[in-house]
Amino acid sequence: MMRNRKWEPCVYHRGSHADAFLRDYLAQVGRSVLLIAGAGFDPRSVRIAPLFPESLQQATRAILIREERPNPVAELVARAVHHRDQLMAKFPLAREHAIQIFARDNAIIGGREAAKLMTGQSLDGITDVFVDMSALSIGVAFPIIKHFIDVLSTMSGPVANLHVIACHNPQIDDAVSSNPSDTVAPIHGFRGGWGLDEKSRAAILWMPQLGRGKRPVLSRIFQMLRNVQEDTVVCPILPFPSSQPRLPDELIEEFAEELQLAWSVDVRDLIYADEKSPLDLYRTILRIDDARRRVFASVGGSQIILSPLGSKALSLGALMAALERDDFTILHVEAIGYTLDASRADSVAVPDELVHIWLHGDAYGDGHGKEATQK
Amino acid sequence: MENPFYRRATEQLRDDEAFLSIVSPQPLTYLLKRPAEQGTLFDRIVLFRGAPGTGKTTLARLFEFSALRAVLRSTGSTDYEAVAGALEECGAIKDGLPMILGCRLPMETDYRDFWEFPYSESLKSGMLFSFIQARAVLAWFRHLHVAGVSDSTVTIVPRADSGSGLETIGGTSGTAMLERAREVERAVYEIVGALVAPNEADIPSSVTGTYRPFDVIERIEITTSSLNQGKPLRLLPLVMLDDAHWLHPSQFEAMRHWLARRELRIARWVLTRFDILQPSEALSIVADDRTDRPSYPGLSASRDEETILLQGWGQRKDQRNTFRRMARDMAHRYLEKHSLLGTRRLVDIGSLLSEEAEQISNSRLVELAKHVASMQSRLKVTDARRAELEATINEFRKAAALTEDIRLAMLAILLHRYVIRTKSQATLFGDEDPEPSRPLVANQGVYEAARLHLLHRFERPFYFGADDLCDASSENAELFLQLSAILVDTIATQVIRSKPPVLDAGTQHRLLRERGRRIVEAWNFPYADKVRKLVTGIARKCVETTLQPNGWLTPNGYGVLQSDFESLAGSNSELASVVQFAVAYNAVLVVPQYECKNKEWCLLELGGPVCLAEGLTLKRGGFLEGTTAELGKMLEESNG
Amino acid sequence: MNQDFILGRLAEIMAWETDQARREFAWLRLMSQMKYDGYQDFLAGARFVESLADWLQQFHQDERAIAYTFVRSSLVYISTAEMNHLVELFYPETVVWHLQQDVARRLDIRTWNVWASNQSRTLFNRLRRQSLFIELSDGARIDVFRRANAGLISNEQTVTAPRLNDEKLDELLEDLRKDLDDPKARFAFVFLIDDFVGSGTTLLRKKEDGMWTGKLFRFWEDNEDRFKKYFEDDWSLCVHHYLATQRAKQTTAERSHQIASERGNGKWFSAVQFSYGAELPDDLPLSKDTHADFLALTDRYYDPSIENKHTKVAGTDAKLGFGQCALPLVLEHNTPNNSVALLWADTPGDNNQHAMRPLFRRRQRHS
Repeated sequence: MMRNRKWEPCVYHRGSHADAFLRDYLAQVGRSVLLIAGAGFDPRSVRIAPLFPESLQQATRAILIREERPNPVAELVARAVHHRDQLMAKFPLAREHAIQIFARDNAIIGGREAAKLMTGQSLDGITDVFVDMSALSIGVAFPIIKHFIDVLSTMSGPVANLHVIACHNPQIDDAVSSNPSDTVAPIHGFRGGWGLDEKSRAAILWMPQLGRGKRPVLSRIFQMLRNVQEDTVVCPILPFPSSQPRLPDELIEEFAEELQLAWSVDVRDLIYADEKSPLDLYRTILRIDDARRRVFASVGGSQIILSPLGSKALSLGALMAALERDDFTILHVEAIGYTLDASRADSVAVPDELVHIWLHGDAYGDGHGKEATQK
Repeated sequence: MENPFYRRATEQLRDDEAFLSIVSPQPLTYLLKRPAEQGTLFDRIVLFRGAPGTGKTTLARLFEFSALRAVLRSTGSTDYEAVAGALEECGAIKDGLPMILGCRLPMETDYRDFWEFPYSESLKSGMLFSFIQARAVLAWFRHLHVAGVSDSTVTIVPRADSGSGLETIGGTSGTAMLERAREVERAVYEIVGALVAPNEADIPSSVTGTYRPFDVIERIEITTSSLNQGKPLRLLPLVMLDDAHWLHPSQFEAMRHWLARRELRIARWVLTRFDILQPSEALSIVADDRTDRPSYPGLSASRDEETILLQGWGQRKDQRNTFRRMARDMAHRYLEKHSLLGTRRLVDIGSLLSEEAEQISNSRLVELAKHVASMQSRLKVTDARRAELEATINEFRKAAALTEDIRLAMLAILLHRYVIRTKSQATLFGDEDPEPSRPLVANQGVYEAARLHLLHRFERPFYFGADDLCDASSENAELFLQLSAILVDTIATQVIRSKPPVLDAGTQHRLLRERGRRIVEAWNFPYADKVRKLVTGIARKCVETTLQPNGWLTPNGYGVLQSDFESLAGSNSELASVVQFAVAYNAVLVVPQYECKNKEWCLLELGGPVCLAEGLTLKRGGFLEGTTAELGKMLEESNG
Repeated sequence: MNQDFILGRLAEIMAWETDQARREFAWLRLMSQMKYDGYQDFLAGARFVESLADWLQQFHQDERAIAYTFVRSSLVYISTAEMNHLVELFYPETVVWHLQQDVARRLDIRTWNVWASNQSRTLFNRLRRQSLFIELSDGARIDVFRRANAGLISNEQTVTAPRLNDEKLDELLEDLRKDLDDPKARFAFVFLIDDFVGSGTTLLRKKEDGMWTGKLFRFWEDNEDRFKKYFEDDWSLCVHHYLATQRAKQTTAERSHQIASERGNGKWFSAVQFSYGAELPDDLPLSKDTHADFLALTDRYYDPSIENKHTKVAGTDAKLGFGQCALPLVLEHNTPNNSVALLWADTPGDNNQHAMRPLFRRRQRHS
């Protein structure tokens, strides 16, 4: 069976390879970069700046996004300001933009605001767009990435490359806990037909990414799905391989009630995804979708729902799958606020691992954005 | 071993039969019969407001076409006859036929998004209304499909004065109308789903307000209906907009006025969460957002609207009894499904939970007796008087003998009450054994306070038996299942270990308190930390009062004057949000307009898990009088 | 399956009170269903909970809690699905990377440009066809590998027995030349695959007499004369394990370096690259700091009769498993002998020794 998938093969790097690639690539003559990054409390905000050679730092147009949520904790604001200042010092052309994640009536507007902000950005003279997801929430990062994919794939003439980077560090993920809002909603731009009448008979498959402390949020999403389609099938995603070999077992235990009862998960429906490889999850999701699409084609269709709430690397895999098949829905519960276990975050023992994915451009084609097709 | 109690109630109740069996007809009759008789239920916009768990969605589901059909299918079964009767009283069914074609549109997703479009308010509203109408039409047809009705047998009976509007919805043919609705839904959906909204000029005219099926349709007719032995069936379409509070306040206002227009012929219900934010405060959000808010002249709310509050149907005691009955029934059905207990016919939750009280240990009893004796001498109460009080206690509950520890605890309370009621006499006459100003009686209140005193002093089992389990569930089926699950699991474990299947009072008490604490700890919703602070603050004050030696009050709620409460959103917006989420997630129950001592109160009653965790009575009505300002202070204080 | 009966007995064996029994029952039901019952050596009617009950009874009453806690919170069990996932990851995450590097090297382009032109893509596809995948043991699951990569890797590129012979190689070469329509084509890549490496001893080690041995060494010895005929001059050897300990990873690198420098040019592979699907963390082996109580049990309940020439190769006794690896690891198809013996050893208890009862019985396999 010959596959024909957008990102298979894919130029991607992780760990030391990612660092090496970025140093190497960014040092090339003629790079002109638009960098989109979060200026947030997350220590990963400033991770990639040093990988830019000094001359490129001077010339890089950086858009630093400050995600604003109601009643932030002062400590987190202070950290965010500190990171912003560090980034501003590195990138003198940087501009900071605040994005309100919630409207006054608590409706989620962050994704729409982010897309609006990006629409105004000119790509004249830019060779590479880098979106650094490390310190951006997925509700903001996903619409931004989708925006650039849309723009770049319909542009004529020389086209900029699109890269996404994320900094993977499960220990930092564990030190950050989020306080969920009470709305389950598709991420802006990733509705995928959710709620349409023509989808009312679709067989729903939900692939929640299990993560520590995510039970309440995932239960809420499931409840909403069940209300729509009572026969929702659940295939949970567990991180394996993982830097902590017992993590899948611990998650199985944490989600025991859901797996055994509420979601009725058969052991064969557990999906394993390499904690550090977005591509692994991407491939798995598409493989499952291919199979289900055939099965349900003439009996109401199939609807894949993703809820990537865990590690950045895995959520990137879910994003790529959703970008490729525009009828996937990404259901999300936005965080209304965060708390940071500062001592844990500051004493993280394992090094960050960068993940780099080249989503669009030269790497796949003739330098004009036209992608070469695989044999 | 499968323990079905771990499934959420909402999931269990998906199929219509199971759903119907938990619907009780009383609230239906209580709330809807009057407006139905007055002809307002299906004739104008009806606004339903209720806190979560008050059955908003249950009510809406019952009026969905598929549920009506399930009721009609099951006539003859006594279970549903009462429900069928209530629906008949409301005019939803008549002579064994459905009269209403109801559909429920949950407003949680998509709809609020329209507000973010960069268009004029009227254009945004126009698109929102097109979308709602298209979806309602599609939902009506979905219900008809499920009932086996094909599009081609459906025709629209238009309003006589509908004019050209009929064209825009596709004419009178069902097939055409369905097709048109799909087109409109698709077109609007594309705009909602676009990363960046298109320019106003690029919006197709079909979605900007010309599509108005609600203005056109009077009835929907099925020409040859199998539901009516092949004869035509004429149905009144009903649209139920559920959880409409998700809309932006401006959208809500616009929608309300749009649906309030008298010329509409279809029935329309709008269901919202009972909100702490009063309309005026909600509107201040709008005022802050923009200044060009449209006004809606010519509509008089009272004449054109019917408002139904779901909070207070009937006596609260009736609600509780109804819930107990429903919960025991539900437990019965779940136990039947339990792989271990069901097969052994251990299916009556009542008989699995012992109601036999457990006395404190003998050594503690001796300690308590000594304590009461020294109290008696400290309070200078004569032995004769004590004997008299003991006789009163014996009078109370003659049949069920009280255990010694309870008697002593009740006696301690009566001794203190005696002293209070003799204070004035003693000083006047120097009497050594004065008569109390009012006679002392050992009643239910004294008994409850005594048990609570023993709970706090000796952790004597207080929460046990099926009724306590039900009462701790705050009339919420889901909470009931959560609390029951751990008890049922323990019963099953005992069975596996070849022990008797009955849980003693001590075990029930311990498990329920643990579970209550865990539920509170696990709260994870907006403002959850502050909600925990608020309820812990209230609970600690309640415990303090409960432990007063004379046991004068065993509160589990906090009352503020209704007027104070109503101005909360303006005076302390953070507290308003905290209370709002506390209510939304059943941490507290709001009882508005509660009459007591000639004043109108709004009660914040602590939810069952909080009462369990903190050791408060499950009986209702006892509340501390306070102010919202004091509540605000609780949020400031750090939890000790 | 009705587990209730055995759970009741287990509660007796462990002397659990109701509350604890309830919690443990829930965990046992869950994990046996989700993972442990899949262990290949379990029999119908005697799966995980039964084996656990049997295993725990060999300890004194007051030691059972220690043993149970070890299983409950330290055991690492890799299920079939997890193992298969590691197999599925091998091609896209490891093979592609190696080939991509080689394409870039051969065309003198950057690795990120490999997908940009038809020329480099074509070369990539050719190199993929010129790769040979050889399993070092049946743990390599070459069948799963083949299924996962159907359409990318042909059956004529996979070899199930580690020992090659001329006849087989001739056949493979002929297929290769036919597929590539190139009568001179030879193989460019060899991937040796195995499931798990715990100490590295089986793969490559120096014997007491100073001679090298191990699977990798044998692969050299057996095929030294064939390389020229069947493989391109600058062919690459890649050794891939689905799962590895940090210790094995380090040891393997050191020994590979050592043998290359000892034997010199022409006497060893010019380049060997090692890769691992998943690496077990440094702190996985049991230590006195983390598992003193349980290690005391491994001491007390030990029967030296499990020692044999294999276990003696890398250590004094086998209490902590082969090579003193002290792993708490179980693989669904077999328990590695690098895991603590108490998990897998099964002895009759002759000569007044303790009769060890296994929790996850081990099948001997030395290939």
